[in-house]
Order: sequence, then structure tokens, then C-alpha cells
Amino acid sequence: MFKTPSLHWSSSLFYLFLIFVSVIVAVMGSLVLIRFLTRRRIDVKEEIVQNCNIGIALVLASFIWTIGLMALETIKPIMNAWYGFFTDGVQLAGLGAFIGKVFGAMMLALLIGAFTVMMALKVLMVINRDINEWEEIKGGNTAVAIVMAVTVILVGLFFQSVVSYMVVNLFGV
Amino acid sequence: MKKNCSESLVFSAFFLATLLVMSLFFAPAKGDTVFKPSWSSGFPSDKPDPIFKKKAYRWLEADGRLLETIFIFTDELLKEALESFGVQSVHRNNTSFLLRGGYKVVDRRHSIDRGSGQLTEHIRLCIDYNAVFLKFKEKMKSYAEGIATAVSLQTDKDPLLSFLTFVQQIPYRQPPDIFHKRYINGFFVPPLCLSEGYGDCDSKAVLLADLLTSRHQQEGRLGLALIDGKGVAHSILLIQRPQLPGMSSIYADNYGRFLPVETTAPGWNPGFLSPILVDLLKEGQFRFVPFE
Repeated sequence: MFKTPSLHWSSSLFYLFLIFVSVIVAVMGSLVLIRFLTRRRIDVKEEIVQNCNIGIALVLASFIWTIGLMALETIKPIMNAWYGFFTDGVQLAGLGAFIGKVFGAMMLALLIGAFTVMMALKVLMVINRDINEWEEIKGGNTAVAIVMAVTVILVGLFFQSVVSYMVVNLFGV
Repeated sequence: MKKNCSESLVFSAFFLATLLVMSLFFAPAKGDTVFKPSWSSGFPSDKPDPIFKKKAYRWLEADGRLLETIFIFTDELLKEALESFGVQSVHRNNTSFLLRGGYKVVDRRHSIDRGSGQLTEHIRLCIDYNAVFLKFKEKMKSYAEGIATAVSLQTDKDPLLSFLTFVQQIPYRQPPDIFHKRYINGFFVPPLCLSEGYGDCDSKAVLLADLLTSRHQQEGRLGLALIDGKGVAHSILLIQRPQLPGMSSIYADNYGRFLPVETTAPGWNPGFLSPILVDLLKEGQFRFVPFE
């Protein structure tokens, strides 16, 4: 494994690819999640770019952080499985199944990340039934946005290790 | 009201779907090892454990091949293995006997009793893993050759992955504190770990270290990381190999960079560990023991 040149450079490329995919999953997933949670009442681009709504930006950032953290937690188990499958160099046979598992792992990260975010927000909304958090944030209430963002990030930190263990099981370790 | 109901329904459906997906991935681990020693695994409690002289091993190599080999243990080796480490069980609390039995002092503190003014010395002992490693690294040569022959390993090829696959599939079980009337504190020296067919984290780590050293000219140093923190007590082997993308590593002053190697469960390649252990290593909650 350590003296296989093709494995060295292919592993580097694959590692960079995984980081890139994690970022894409985090950003795209967060944008879709906000649209779903707000029932498309809030146009994120318009709020951030045109209205300079810091509250929306904070909440979006917390979503990206949480989902991105979940996606990044999948990278080590995926690389462990990568080296296990391709010890003597990358072979085409089995590569398709491996890529499928990688895709499954990323979707798992997105699913758990989205569930974590939704659960955090649900808890907050149940506690504060008299406040419509999204309307407040849309109206420019940065304080509510900060509370939401911190709650999402904290719950995400608790669930961070779950993703890693589940991906390890996915690859049969 | 209707919006609240539909929102709750969506949330509940999403929650149930996630639970279903999670339950699929928390299924019992697939592919139990086929590592089956040739004797019965039960030991009668009222009879002394027999020392085995011959043992057949079957294990699954990384490429899917089912391999088999037979190890023979001479009386002299087993006797030496038994007597080289540990003390008679009656002396288990005697520091001087323990120091002669393969332990070393890792911490020494003094305290003074305020009432009587008496000075008391507190000594913390630990197994001298380096001494055990050095003692058996030549004696494990024939067993390393046996594994290499079974794997059809070329002479110039790094045996790390093959030996690691073998050791990981040795059943994980805590050795007894008392073994053949000797206090061994739950640690099997490498010949005993192989002859008994099971071992815990430190037993298997030292076994792998000796197999690697006896078969292959070392590319770099070996070491042991004794992790102790947050309720976790674990030992992992440290090896010096190039760090590939995604791998964790530890840097030890005066010794260089090491990759951690997990020996207790199949599927962990060099440089990869359970996330809990990675966190503990990052926090420095371990003691580094070089093999030299």
C-alpha cells in the first residue's frame, strides 16, 4: 500500500474530491432546507444580497456548518474503506460499487444533518410558541437568528460522531 | 391549525424515515471472522488450563482468500513465555517482585501524613512492553514466516497489511489476571497470545510488533500508544510509514511521525481509528512507549 505510486496520487485526488463534495452537499443542502422549512416564504438570495439580512445569513451559516460537519465526518471512514479496497492500486472492478457507497455515505450525512437541524429548530419553536422565528428573522431580528444559529450548531456537535459510526457500518468495518 | 398538522405530519414522516435508515445501518456487523482455532473454546473451571503445543489458524485475507496455517509451540518456548513475564500469584502485591517480573516504574510520588509526619512513597507500575518486545522479536521469526508463507508474501514486500489482517482476526478477549498460577495482569506475551488464540489490545499490539520486526527489516521505528482518558483504556501500535491522505498520525519528539494501527478489530487500515480514540490522541491523553 505504501509503495504503490498509483494509490498515492489517486488517493490525493479522491480525498480532494470528497472535501469538494462535502462542501457542495453542505451549501446546496442548506439552501434547500431553508426553502423547505420556510415554505419558500423566504428567498435566501434576495434577503442576503439585496436586503443584507444578517439574521438569514447567520442561520444559513449555521445550517452549512452543521451539514458540512456531518459530511466531513464521513471522509475518514470512506478513506479507510478506499485503502482497504484498493491496496494494490485502483482497479475498475468494484470501483462502481465503491462510488455508490460513497454517494450513500454523503446522502446519509445530508439526511442526518437535515434531521439534526430540523430537530433543533422544532425544539426551539415548541419552547417559543408565541414567536414566529422565521418572520422575525425576515423582519431583521438578528437576536432571534443568533439564538437559532447557536441552537442548530450545538445540536449538530452532539450528533457529529453518529455519522462517522454509521458510515463505518455502511462500509462493513 | 391545518398548517400545524401538516407540518407535524411532515416532521414525523421525516423522523420515521430517518429512524428506518439508521436502523438499517446499525445492523450487526456483517461477515463475522472465520478465525477458528482448532480446539474447543470452553475451558473447564475446575481444571488447570492446558498449554497448547500445536494450533491451526484460519483467517480471511484482505483479498478474500481463506488461509490456513499451523503453529507449533515447543515446551521450551511456552515455558520461557510463561516465566519471562509476571510473578507468582502470591507476590502480586509485592513491588520488588513485580519489578523483576516485567514491570517498570512510571510514576513515583511522595506524601506526608499530617498527623504522624510519616513519609509514604507511592509508586505506579506499568508493564515494560519494550522489554517484552525485545525478548521475543527473534523467537517469533518462525511464526512470521508461517504467516508469510500462507499469504504467499514476497520477501521484499511490506508484510504490514498481511500481518495486521491476521492479528486483527485473532479473537479479542481479556486474558486472565492469573494464568497457570502466575499473575500476568491480563497481558499475554506474544507466544502465549498465539498459543492461546486470543488476546486484548496490548497483547495483540506487541504480538504484531514482534511479527513485523522478526520477518521484515524495519523501515522505521515501532511504538505503543497507551491511551487512557474519558473512561477509555486502550493500546494501539504505532508504526513509521508514509502518511497517505486521510490517515491520522502522531508526532513523538525525538522519534518522528507514527501512524496508529488498530489491532483489536478487523477492517481498520493503518492510520485509521475509531473517532473516540482519534479525539483522545489529539488531546494528548496517551503515553508513548518506543520499541527500541
